Amino acid sequence: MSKFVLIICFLATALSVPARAAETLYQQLGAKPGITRIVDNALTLYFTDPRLHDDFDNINRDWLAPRFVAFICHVTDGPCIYKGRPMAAAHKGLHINQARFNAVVEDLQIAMNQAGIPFRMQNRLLARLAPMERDIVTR
Amino acid sequence: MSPGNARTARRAAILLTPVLPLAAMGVPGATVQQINRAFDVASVRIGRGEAVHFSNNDEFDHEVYVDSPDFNYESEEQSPGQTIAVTFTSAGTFQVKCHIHPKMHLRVEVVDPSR
Repeated sequence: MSKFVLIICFLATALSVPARAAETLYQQLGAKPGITRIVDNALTLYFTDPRLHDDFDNINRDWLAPRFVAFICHVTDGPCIYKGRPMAAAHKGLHINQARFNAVVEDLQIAMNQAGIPFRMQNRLLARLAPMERDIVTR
Repeated sequence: MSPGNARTARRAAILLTPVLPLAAMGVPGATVQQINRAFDVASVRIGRGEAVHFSNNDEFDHEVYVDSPDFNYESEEQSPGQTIAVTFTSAGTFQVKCHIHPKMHLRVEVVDPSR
């Protein structure tokens, strides 16, 4: 009986692995509701982080939030179409330095922790965003 | 100045007139600069049917709008360096705001020229 249970468990695990592996990062982050939660957490941190005061002062959170969600959805292979400008164009003139970029990343990690995103998934998202640093940091 | 020189000066003035800035020529409407996430003036006064020209002198986008029962307007994302003209077709007082930067406010008073 115990052998039978072990076999069933093994088969169930084996069969579930390919399905899990086929999931996009978008799905692994919880699809639209999960990404919306991450973005909401992140924006709360950005708008209250003194290191980012000059960047987010006089910015409309309600305007930014859906664009941020669409962007994360897009870079994680979700079904969204990001209609905003490319990162370099969107951040040109904001004079973002390395310290402020790092603050944004730190807050995003906290936001993902708050949303219960596993560490491995967090790293996968950060890996997708990392190459954009050269377009965003201009100072 | 001799009569000949005066004539020449008058002709020069006539020839130069078309290249003067529109504001100097008394062209109706108003021009407002968008700079440092703000409008450069708090209010303007124009005639009905005239336009306010919004000139984006920031290094990032703006997106102006007017939301009022008498007049509505929504711009696209306005790129750095881009100027857009908003023609006010109703008389009254309107608040122009920016979707991206909520502290930007401009009061536009539109008067009816026939009154």
